[in-house]
Amino acid sequence: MSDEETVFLGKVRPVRTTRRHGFGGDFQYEEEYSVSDLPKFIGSRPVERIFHYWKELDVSAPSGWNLRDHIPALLDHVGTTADVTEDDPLATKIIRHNTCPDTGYGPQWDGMPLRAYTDWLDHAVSCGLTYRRCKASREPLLHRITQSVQGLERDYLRLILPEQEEGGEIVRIHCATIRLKANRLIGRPK
Amino acid sequence: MRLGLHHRQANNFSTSARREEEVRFSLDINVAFGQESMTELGRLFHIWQRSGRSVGGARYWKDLQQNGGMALEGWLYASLIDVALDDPYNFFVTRHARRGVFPNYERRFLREIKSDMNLDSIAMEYTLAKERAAPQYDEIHQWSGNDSRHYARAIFPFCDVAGKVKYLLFATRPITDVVPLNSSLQVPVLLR
Repeated sequence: MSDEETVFLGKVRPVRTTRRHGFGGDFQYEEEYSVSDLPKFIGSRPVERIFHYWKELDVSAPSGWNLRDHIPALLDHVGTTADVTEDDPLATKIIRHNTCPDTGYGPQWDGMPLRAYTDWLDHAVSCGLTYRRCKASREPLLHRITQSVQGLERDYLRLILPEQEEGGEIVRIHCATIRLKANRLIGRPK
Repeated sequence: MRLGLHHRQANNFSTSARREEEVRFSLDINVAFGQESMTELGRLFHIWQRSGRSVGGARYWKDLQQNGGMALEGWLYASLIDVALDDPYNFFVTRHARRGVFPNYERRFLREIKSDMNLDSIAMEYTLAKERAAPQYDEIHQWSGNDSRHYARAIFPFCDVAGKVKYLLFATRPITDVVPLNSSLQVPVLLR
């Protein structure tokens, strides 16, 4: 089984499910799973390998996260790195967003606060608050996100990992993601 | 908006695992309030419409006070949230509805809400309403622990003199009573 191959078993029970339906057919389903269920989702485990890399850092290592030098092959599976130092969830700033191989979207969001995603405000608020929960709990969070927003359909698994700096404050989160289906443009996003 | 065309068993999930689920539909406020004219939500909408000048989709809190204010004492389902602080978990419940599932949250911060799902859900909705600075109307179905709830909710933003949203005035209307998940009742699910 190659590193890129994923297996979605579909037999895992979420601990929480949220389904939000907006206007114009937009929807977002979030299923939250126990992180211990991660191996049940991922066959060849790029996300799991990132999780183990994070665990080995013990998060007590200041600025220890350096996937680019340590496991560069996994860098494409880090969908988002964000600065979570602000209290306001919408002031969370995207440091780096990877490029979607299906649509080319992603890098245009680098350096922007979540507040700037006005057409994706539901998703932006949801991300901001989930990152904040990860920051407060200092624990990873695992979600399956199925959404259709502004004509873009996505279905992916997301593992949110906190990173702390010297002094213990969580300052960044890293989202390890893997697509469960190819992203698809069904309309014309703004 | 179609109601009751689809039914699901309220007890179709094992009670051995705690169920935490929410389904929310956002509806167009003009359509929604056409159907709410006889309810507290409709009355609140009219008060908000008459309350004064607009700042985007929000109204000035000061104008509401000058236009006769709003005595909340007689309202059963209306609540007032102070959302001035940046952190949604520090939003403050200034007044809470007299009826409903959590009547004991008056004069408390959101972070004191014990149910994680409810805390995250309302923190998200209040943050959205504050950011959009526009009224919103949602129909919400929740299953939490051993109970399910199905209700409509309208949120109206009010801003301070600087134009920053400071208060959210909102009301809910139960569509069904709280239903224990081990009940044999069938709970209607809204379909669009």
